[in-house]
Amino acid sequence: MSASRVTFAAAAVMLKMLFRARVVVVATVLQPVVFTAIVSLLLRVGSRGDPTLGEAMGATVMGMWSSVLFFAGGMLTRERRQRTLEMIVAAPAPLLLIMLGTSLATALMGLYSLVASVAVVTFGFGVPLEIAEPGAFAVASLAAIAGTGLFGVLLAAFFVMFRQAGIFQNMLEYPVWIASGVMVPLALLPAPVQVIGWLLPPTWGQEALRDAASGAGGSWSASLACAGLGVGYFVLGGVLLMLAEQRARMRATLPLS
Amino acid sequence: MDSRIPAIEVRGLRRDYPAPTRRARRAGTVLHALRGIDLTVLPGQVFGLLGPNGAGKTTLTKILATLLLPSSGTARVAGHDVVADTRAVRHAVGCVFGGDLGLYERLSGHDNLRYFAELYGVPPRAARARIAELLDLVGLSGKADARVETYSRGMRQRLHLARGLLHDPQVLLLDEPTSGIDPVGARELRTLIDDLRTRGKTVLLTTHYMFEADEVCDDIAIIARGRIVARGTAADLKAMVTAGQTIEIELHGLGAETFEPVRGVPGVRAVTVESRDQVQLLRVQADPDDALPGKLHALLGGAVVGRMTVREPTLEDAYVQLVEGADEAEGSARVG
Repeated sequence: MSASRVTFAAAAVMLKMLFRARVVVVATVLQPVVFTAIVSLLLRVGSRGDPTLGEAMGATVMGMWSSVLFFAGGMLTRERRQRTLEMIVAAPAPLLLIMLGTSLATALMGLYSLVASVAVVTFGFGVPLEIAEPGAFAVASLAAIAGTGLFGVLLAAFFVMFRQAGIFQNMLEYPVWIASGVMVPLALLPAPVQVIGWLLPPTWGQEALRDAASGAGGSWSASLACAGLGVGYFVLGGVLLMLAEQRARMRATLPLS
Repeated sequence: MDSRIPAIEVRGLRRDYPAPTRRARRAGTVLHALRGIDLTVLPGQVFGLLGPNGAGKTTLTKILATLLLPSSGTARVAGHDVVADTRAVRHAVGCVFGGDLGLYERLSGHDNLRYFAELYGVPPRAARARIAELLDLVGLSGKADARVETYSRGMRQRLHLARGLLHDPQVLLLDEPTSGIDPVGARELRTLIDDLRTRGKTVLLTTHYMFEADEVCDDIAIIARGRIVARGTAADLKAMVTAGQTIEIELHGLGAETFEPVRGVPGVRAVTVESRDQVQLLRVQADPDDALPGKLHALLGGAVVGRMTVREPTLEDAYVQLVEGADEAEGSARVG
């Protein structure tokens, strides 16, 4: 059994299902457009000039985080509700690889966020499409997708391990946007929040994309931090998932009934 | 599979569940779903596990599918331990659970199978041929590209079966596969199980339909209250109650209290009541006694509205007697 085939199959199934849900498509299409437009309008109305391409990257990461939080984070809960969780656990493929594929697929939807954000500032606000470091920008995009996606594995494992934690799923969207510095610069936030921010892959993903777009330097190290944090969370998620599966087999909680 | 290794071997298997309510859990109440099951299923057998709801059939199936851990005892599938060799068991077993759920509704039947083929490590080229073959086998070739959300219950059940067979498992676990599907679909499914037997597959079929077990199973175990109360071929089980008679009486509008005295009549082994529209069918299993029909008629008086028939026991009668026997034994043990 090939690990890459299982991951790819899980990603393909997730994308197919997401694209077939009308509400998901509408939310995914509109969200980055709305976020980018709001950020750009705020900058213009606040007499701080037109937005830059780098500033639009905050909206990209916001979209990426939302899709990972809701689609990957809730994946195992959804599988449990539709009784497919038992079926995938009964298969010999490791649950971790299935989760990896699912999370990467949802993070991949962030690519659309990126394109939509760039399109809004370019065509809607007349910002020239100039990327200072195209190579670093490509790597930063991949790092943001991978880092945020791998973080989704930990979220999914956490929500399935502690069912009550699912209640906080809806509440996690804004705090992470704030703590990762996409709404307000991280430096303006209280020190404890800054520490939390540094531990979040979206923080580094946004920084890597912004720096690569503006040519401020530091994009490569931010990309590395984003991917590194993602790998760490993936390992942690793997351990948690293993414990969750073992506990579910012991307590008979794989199905909801 | 090595014919000397049992396809399924279960020894002293117990499974307890914590009580569903917090108060009962605090009081230390534990539900005993399986209470020391011993079972051996040989390769190539179609083995029936018959029992009422809550008897422990699904719990046993889920332990064999590695979805549940036993509280104690051992279970081996194709020679692999379900706790220690989980991955090997998952390769050897195909699971089919009854019901509408358990499929990806927004995907087509074909996509569902393709995904699970990957999860079971079926090579892509082999998977293409296998999926086409299985869709044909379960009669879904014409609807393979339609979304599962448009499938009828019978179609879903057949898709479940195709998924269970994708990786050509040595052992197939079928948990009430015909539950809720129409008689034609159920008959097709039984034909399919028969076909699997000719291919040398081992099948563990849980059901509460007697005729189904009678029709397709080589060997049957009756499970009640977490224990196996009888084991043998359908003929063996019937023979356990053939030294007796089954009397069926049609009655009208009687309360349960009316039937209680019947249980106390000497020679009566089991009494069940089945409601059919306005009429109730009282089924009495008893020792051979030519005078018994007359005694029952006298006892029930004017309540008898239709036929009274005396016949040879069926597998269903054997089942009812064995399950009721287990209930009574449990009741007396609790009283004692």
